[in-house]
Amino acid sequence: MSTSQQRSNRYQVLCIDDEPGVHQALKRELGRLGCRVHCAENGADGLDILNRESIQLLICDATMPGMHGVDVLMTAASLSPNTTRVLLTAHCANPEVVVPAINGARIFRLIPKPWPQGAIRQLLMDVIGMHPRKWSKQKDRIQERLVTDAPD
Amino acid sequence: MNEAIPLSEVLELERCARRDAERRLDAANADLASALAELQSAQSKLVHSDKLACIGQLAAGVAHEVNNPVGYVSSNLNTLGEYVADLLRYINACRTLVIDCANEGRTIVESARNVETLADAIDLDNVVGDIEALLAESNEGLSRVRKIVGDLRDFAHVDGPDLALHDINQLIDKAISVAWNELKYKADIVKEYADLPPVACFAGRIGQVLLNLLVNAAQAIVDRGEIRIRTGQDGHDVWVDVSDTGCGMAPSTIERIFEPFFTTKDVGQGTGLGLHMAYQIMRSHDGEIRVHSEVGMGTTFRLQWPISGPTEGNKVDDDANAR
Repeated sequence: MSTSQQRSNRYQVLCIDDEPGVHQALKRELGRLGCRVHCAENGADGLDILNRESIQLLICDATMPGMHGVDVLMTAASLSPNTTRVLLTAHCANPEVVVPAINGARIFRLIPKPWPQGAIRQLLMDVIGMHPRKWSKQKDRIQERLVTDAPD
Repeated sequence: MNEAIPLSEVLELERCARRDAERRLDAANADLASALAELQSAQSKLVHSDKLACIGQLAAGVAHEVNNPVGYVSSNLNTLGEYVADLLRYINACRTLVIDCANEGRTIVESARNVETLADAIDLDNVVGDIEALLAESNEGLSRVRKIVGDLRDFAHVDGPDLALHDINQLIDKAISVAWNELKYKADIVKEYADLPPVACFAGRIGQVLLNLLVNAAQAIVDRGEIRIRTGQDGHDVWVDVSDTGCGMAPSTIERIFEPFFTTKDVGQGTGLGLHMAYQIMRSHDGEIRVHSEVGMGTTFRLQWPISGPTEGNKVDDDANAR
């Protein structure tokens, strides 16, 4: 673990998507779960952020101007192997996108667009579940929200 | 042997033969007429199937275009639901405080503390500060969905047999909107529209031609380029230019592009009917489609037809096609 990772106690997520609307929606969802969310509109800018910050979770779109999302994820896999990689795309049924994403970029999860209610929260719970001690605060926060948001 | 056949019998035989020939001629004529009708209906189906193929090809892209806003709008609505739940809790706490104040009970301080703690827990400042932005972004997303679905519906709609007056610049904008997913990663779109009078045309078919030209232009661009759309008036005619900075075509290709089933695209990518149909559609408008292209420089297609629409003869032709 690097020192910067030890210093920042917030779970950091990077969202790469060419739709600003998606940035805002993910910022809301993940922000409420105690995450710090960085956003980039294309692969090159996103990889810059990945290089600079210590990012725990990368959520990446497939079709974007410039680099394709799967190529971004493959580069991310070698650039920052400890960052969990997730593909968020409307092309979930397209094997030309999905197969290289799973076998090549070794993504942790494939999330469809539009994403189902609760999908992002479940994703966060699962990735944090892999390092429960390191991210105990985030886990508490999610538990807290689960309790408060639960229908009466 | 060799008895002479009576003249009346000869005449009768000849009459029979003639009647028989006439019957066969009538039958052959009827066959030809039904073959012609079949051909006409096949051609009209071809026009429609090319349009459907084009729309089908674009539908996947349109779905993607719609999935983005639907994705973030749904997410926003869920978040808004959480905001509302939090705000209701906060409002209830405030009401308790107000009631306690009214009663001047000893619980006031405790209630006030409750309200403050709750404000912290639900991140009240953030919730209150974000609601307007959340609603505005969601509204924008829904408008996008509404627009693209409406534009696609306008395109899939089959024209009636009658000509109608249309705003050609608006028609181009709709074609761009439907083809947007094919265009946005390939090209910057530059519009140079002239002020045009209403133009008589079959909007669905002119739209089909425009869609074809736009998709072709995007596919001709390898990496990223520019698609420029210009409109103008030339005497009694209206014209539309669609130019791309794509790979261009060799003269041997240009010679054949309007032939049916001629395509340079990969299997499954093109029907080879798009430009042939464009040619037919422009002819049915008493107009024409012209092309200027240089390898490595790009291609310009020009559509030109009378502002008043095609003359009667062609309208009848078109009626047959529309059926």
